[in-house]
Amino acid sequence: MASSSDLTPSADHTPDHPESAAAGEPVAGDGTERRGRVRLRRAAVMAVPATLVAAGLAVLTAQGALGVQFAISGMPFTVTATELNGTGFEQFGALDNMAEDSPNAGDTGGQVLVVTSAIKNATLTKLCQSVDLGGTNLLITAGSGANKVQATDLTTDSTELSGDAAFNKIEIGNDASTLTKAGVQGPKGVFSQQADTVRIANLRQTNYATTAGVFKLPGLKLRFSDTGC
Amino acid sequence: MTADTHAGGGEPGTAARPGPRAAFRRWRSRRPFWGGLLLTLGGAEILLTEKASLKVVLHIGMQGLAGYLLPALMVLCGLLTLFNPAQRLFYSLTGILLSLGTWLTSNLGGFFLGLLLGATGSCLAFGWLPDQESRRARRRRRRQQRAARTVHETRSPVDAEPV
Repeated sequence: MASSSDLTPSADHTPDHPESAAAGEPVAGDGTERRGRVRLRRAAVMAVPATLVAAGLAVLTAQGALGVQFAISGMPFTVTATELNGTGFEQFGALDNMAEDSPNAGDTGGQVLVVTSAIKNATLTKLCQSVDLGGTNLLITAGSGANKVQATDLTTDSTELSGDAAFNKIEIGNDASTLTKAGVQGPKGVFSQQADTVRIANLRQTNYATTAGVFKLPGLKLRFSDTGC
Repeated sequence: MTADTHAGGGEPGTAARPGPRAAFRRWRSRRPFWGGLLLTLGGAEILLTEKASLKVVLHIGMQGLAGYLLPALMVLCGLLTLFNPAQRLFYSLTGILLSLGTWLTSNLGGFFLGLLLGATGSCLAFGWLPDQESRRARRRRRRQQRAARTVHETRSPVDAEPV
């Protein structure tokens, strides 16, 4: 009923109030100081639709209808999947640089040797990703139902990679700058390999500085957990 | 000028006093402080979760760039809300759209935390109005008006409403 007063400073209609006798001034004593405040009803005008949109985004993402982009890492984190199928596979060694004076640098001089794997189109079953936050793990799982996780231009910089792999039309020993299968090139003079298709069962990666393209994550679950993947 | 804060600060009410704290409080009372601050922090949190190097971002293209662009604009909107509160409506509306957009572009909105901070901040900035009396005084006044309305039943309800 009184919502009309939300739109105007309430200075206009209180001069007769005993508590705000000094209403003409910006502030008055005794708990009725006049200052900028958040009007809850007004805030709700934005909060309610925003909540609905956020919920809609979460639902659409969980159903796999929306692609979600990840560009995380810097801290090591683990990715596992029971099966990875991909077309357009490249792999080469690279050196990742940490930020200057990074607390994670230790005695490495701020550089970490990594294996960069790039996959043009990848399908993952039962994807699990965990980040160790110290004491607790941020756990993301997806693709355990009928719909699988799909990714394009997936690029991971790993320090460890394990699984049962099968490659089709693999070329080993290319120069990393001449790779063509996934559209990513490494530095000149670095060993590399590429293949038309790749299939890795029981995939497990420890990624130091992973970057990735676009993910579709059906059945997404994000939670904190005591144990990682 | 007095700087009494029974309703807002939680500190015992004191008369006008100089000093940086009182000055900061006066500065804060003139702008949607918490809204702008939360929006800024939300954008910063999302930026912190992103570690993709510039080379990779440029390689992915516009989508990779958006991952940094949206949270950076959130920080900008938050700071502008603080330092140019007159335009808070535009900043808060832009801020909420950016916050929601980071769900798609930036690590699920910095693992949801940054999105939550940004959305809360935007809503607070949107709901903020300058020169308001305290909540308690408003409630009291409303109650009095309601009482007055029941007494003077012959008066039309519009007269009893705050105009």
